[in-house]
Amino acid sequence: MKGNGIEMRGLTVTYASRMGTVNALSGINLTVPSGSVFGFLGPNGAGKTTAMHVLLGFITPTSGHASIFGEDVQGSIARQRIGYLPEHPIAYRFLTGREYLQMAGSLFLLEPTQIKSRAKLLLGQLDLIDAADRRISTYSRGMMQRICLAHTLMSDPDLLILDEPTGGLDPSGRMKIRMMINDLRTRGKTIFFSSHELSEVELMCDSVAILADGEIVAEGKPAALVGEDKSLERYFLRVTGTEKEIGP
Amino acid sequence: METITNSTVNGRRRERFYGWAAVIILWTTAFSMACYSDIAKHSEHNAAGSTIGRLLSKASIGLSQACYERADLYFHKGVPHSSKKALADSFYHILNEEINPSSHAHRHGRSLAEIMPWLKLVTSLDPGNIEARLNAVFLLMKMKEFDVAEKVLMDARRTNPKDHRVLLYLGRIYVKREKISEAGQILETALRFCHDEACAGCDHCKDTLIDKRAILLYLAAIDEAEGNLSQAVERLEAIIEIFPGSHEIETTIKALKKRPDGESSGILLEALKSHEEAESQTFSSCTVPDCEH
Amino acid sequence: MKIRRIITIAKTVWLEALRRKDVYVLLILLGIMIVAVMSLDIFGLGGVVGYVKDVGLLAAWFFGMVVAITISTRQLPDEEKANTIFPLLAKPVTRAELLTGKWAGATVSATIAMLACYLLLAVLVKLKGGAFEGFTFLQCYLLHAWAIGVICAIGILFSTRLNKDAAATLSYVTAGAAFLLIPQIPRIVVNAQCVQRSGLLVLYYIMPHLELFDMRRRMVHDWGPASWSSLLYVMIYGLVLIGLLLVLSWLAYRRKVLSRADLF
Ligand SMILES: Nc1ncnc2c1ncn2[C@@H]1O[C@H](COP(=O)(O)OP(=O)(O)OP(=O)(O)O)[C@@H](O)[C@H]1O
Ligand SMILES: [Mg+2]
Repeated sequence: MKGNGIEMRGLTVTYASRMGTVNALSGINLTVPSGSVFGFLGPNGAGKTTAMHVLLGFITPTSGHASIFGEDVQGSIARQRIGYLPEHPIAYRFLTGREYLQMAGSLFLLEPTQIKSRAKLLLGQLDLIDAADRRISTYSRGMMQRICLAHTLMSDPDLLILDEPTGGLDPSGRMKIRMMINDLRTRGKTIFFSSHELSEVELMCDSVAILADGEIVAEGKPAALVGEDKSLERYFLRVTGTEKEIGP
Repeated sequence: METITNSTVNGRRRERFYGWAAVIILWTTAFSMACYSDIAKHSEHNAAGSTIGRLLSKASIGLSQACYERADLYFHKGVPHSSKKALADSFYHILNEEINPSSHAHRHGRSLAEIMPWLKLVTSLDPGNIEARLNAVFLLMKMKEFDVAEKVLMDARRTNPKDHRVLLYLGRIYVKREKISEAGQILETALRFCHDEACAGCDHCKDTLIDKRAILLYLAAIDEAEGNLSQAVERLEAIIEIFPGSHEIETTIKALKKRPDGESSGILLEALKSHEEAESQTFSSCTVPDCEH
Repeated sequence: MKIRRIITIAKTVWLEALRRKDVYVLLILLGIMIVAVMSLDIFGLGGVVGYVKDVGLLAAWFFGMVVAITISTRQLPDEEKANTIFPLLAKPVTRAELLTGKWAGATVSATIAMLACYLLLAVLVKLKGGAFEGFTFLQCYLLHAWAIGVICAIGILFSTRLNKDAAATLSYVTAGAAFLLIPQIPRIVVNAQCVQRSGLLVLYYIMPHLELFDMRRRMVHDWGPASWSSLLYVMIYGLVLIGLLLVLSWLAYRRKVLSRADLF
């Protein structure tokens, strides 16, 4: 695949709130090449979700520009190729798992036969076959996360934006998601995800960027960044300035 | 494991069923109690003592008034009495006229029955409202439902034994049924309760006088049918006293005086009956000038 | 605007209405109410159904408004509250499609609920020995459905910027006024002073006129069907009104910064 999956140029987002303004992002530049797995890291409140919302066109940036596969993020064409998993994902509780997937397929205007086969495939891959025709309101936290991931994958998107995909999952649940991401990587998809699980990031990512207070403080291959810090976790604590608070 | 799941499912289903059943039962009970207590209490008139009773009775009078207006609306086929309006040439107004007809109209014949539920509600909510009962009777007679009308009148007589209008209607029904002697008795009683010594200027008194004339007319006709001509003449002369200068009555008196006492023909009674048939349909609360009765 | 996306969103609204049980409660209440009214003994006369139609249709209009407003005003706020709006808008779904789909779903759901009401009423009237006149029944239902469309559009408009309770309250006030107060303006205006008069006239012309969709008088009092041309006029008026309300909703919603649910 040619070109860059994601490009952000001088992206600034300022929220106006009652207490004044909040600079969630201050002029970040970031390039995610297509076909790579990119880890987007940062402490709570760093601005990761905000950046993703800009990419999806939920927020108009105060200044700067973002594009996906060369298309401006404000147009709906850009979203044709994206799959997005929000943080704390919730599906329509009154639908069954299968209906929820079918809904995603129709919104992407897929053929009915295609929708059927794809839903079946994903339900199998994510271990949801038995629960497929049960209301989502009866799902556990992990099943909810998986059905939402399946929903995200219905259109077989080229770019996946996953906001903490393993958040709140047990080790086996995390394992399943990791396997899924690996599988997508081998199929040449671009994956842009945020996570607080640094060991997992170290294992999976081609490159990472670390965000702190709305600015990118580090970017590169995990192995190269770790260097003398021995682990990504130590490095992360150092560059985000949280090390001093905790101590060595 | 299997059994636990099953019992949970059944338990939830049962719970839900009981929940719904409770809601429906409670609501139905509340609804019927509200309706019933309103109707029952006020037909007995014993609630008037307590404050709540008084409040309820005020509320039910208001409600019965609303039902009465509704009855009037039904008589006019749902078209409310028109009042002065602006914007008659606006788009909305013209379109509304098309969708909701607003021309003056009345119900006729069998379709008069559609008014009855509202009158029934009025009589249930406010048993003292004798006008509503009389209107019901009037409409029932138009519909030739004499049995029903008689039942309503009997009811009305129980609550208002001294109302001459109730007795007058009863008399008319008996005449229709050819029960002449019963009619005579009841109209005599009606005459006794028809007090006309009041001012004679106000609408109420005028109505009473008109009623008195009707009673006397019927009594005269009955007397004539029974061959009691001199008494018939007396009755008619009493009418002349109230409404002097009535040409028709005067000629009838002259004709009666010419005939020998004891000769009965029943023509007066026939004339009254056919007059009643031809009487145009009217609804007493319809007081608007443009209501072409 | 892709019709299939709109239909998909509308279908989801319909499934929600079908599976949440609140509409059934209203239907049961309606049934009980009509049966209670039917059991009134009218001096022993049979075949009297006008008042049953009257009360039944009044209840149907009332419940129709309640269903339309509850369903339409909860759509957008609930999506935002449950965080489901994000995966939805992350797809190539435009906000215009979202609003149209939500409106269509709410309207269809409420209209089908009303169809159940009408059929129930028709059956009960039949049991009481009466009948509805076919064409008038059809016209009355058709215009009622149109009115529900307008009410749903009002609900959607308010819910773009307000939470669902506030939106529902405002929708009730607006729809109630459009139904009961606005038609009275010609009567009031006769005695109004200069400034008041202009205010009333402005209201009269800009507010939706829901009374135009109400054919109950023809149904209850046997006036027979209205002319199809006037029906067509009213339907076109309704479409214009709905279009206007949806465009306003779109203007209010198109750049809205969606709030994140507090799920922490
Ligand atoms: N609507 C808003 N109004 C005002 N401030 C906001 C708004 N949304 C986010 N913020 C602020 O912007 C900053 C970045 O928030 P964001 O959610 O992007 O962080 P994050 O990196 O995703 O954090 P986490 O790891 O906890 O998910 C935070 O300080 C947050 O309080
Ligand atoms: Mg976040």
